[in-house]
Amino acid sequence: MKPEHWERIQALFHRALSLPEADRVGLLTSTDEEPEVLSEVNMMISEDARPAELFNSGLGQLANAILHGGVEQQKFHPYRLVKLLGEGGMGVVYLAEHEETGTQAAVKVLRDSWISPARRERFQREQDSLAGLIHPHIARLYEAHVAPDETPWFAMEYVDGLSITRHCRHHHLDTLSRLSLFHSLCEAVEHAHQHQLIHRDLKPSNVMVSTDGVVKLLDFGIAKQIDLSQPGSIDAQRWMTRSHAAPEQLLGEPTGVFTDIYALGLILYELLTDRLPFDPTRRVPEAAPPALPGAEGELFQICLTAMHRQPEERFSSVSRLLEALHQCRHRTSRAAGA
Amino acid sequence: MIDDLFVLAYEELRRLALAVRRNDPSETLNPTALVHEAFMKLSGTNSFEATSPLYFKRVAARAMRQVLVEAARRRQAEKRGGVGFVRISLDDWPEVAATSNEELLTLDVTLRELAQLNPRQEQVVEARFFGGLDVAETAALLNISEETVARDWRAAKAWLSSELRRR
Repeated sequence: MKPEHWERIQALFHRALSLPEADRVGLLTSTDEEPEVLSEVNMMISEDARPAELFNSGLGQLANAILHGGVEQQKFHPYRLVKLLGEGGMGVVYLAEHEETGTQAAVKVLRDSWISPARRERFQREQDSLAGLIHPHIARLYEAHVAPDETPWFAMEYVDGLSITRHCRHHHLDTLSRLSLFHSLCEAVEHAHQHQLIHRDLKPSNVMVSTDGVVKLLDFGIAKQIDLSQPGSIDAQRWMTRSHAAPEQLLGEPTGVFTDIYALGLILYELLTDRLPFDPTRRVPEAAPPALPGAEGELFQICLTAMHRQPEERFSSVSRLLEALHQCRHRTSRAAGA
Repeated sequence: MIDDLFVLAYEELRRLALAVRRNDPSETLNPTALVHEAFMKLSGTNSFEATSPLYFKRVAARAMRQVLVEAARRRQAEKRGGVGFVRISLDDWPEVAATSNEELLTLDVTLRELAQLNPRQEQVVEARFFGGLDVAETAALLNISEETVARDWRAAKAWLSSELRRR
């Protein structure tokens, strides 16, 4: 069909529809339009009289059937997928088993890799970040591949456990045990920083504690190589998690080591109080978190310093934070012993 | 920028669509609500500060179409038993899904044909059907009168339906 045909078809279609039904036949038989145009108009008029199932039921049912009809899989040799662990806008994570050794692994797949090179780069960055990090408290990368249809995926250490905050609540851990877990987390973050990597998405759901009580840091999806020539960098901040974002992330300002320090302070606060200091949907940073109950005054000071609104006022490194924590713990245990 | 926006909208819609199912597997997706929710979520991010809700909806409508087309394509490839595909039975595979895949892919092709005849009408259908925009919003978005939107929508719907029936 040509555009000018389409114009004539529509004109006749609308004219016919403006008439009472009984008069339409008259119009269509008396017109001197070409037969193709006429037959098209006739078909459209009869469609118009029917309920347009697809359009009237809306997109909902169609979308449901397509998106949720089943989960397509590819073979991730040498891994066999066991079950879905989680899915988000970008990646899907499966629990998988190595076909020969039976070792469990988490297989992370970049869905719809075609959509943009930026996504593939981001996925690749996470993979590269993980590959460079070997630490008892960081989930390890096992291997990385590209499936026959060019979907990138990688297998990494599977952590069977709970997020750090849920673990603490579930086991009713006391402050000292919580601090010990936090200490392990700090070591993991410090290790990443030593490898010039800022995590930038530190939050409890990315910090797992395995069933045997070992902390494992996950998800380097928006980690960034520290550029030594630049104090901070601005890109990729839109992927941040609002509830745990540092002020500079909320404001779209440069991030750096200090961004992870802030998040560590926030996690410490959560571990000590079992709640978040701020409204998780906040868009503008607050000046300071609300005070902790009196007994933890010294620990609260550490949170305050780590979470200072001004990056330069925070601990300058994770080791500084650990030092402060150590001193505090020392005093606390001495006081408890006395 | 447009690519950025599209990718963000795409990911957010995908995520939301999946979330709907997690919360209540029997619930039917409501694209209008999804697009609205995606906008609420993304409008606070830096990349979106300068984006009007209407413009976002336009991008989201396209992203929604793409989410579905891509999913349908993959489902079909899988059904044909493409290289290296295995299925994990997390769900039963209802026959209705196969029909829906075909239906959507045919609609996509037909819409592209409509674009050849009248680009504006493709946009009307995309906004109304995939983005869930109402007549007034679509009119404002495309800078045409509501009456034109209504006429375009009615004619396009009738033509697309007859094409879908024929193919």
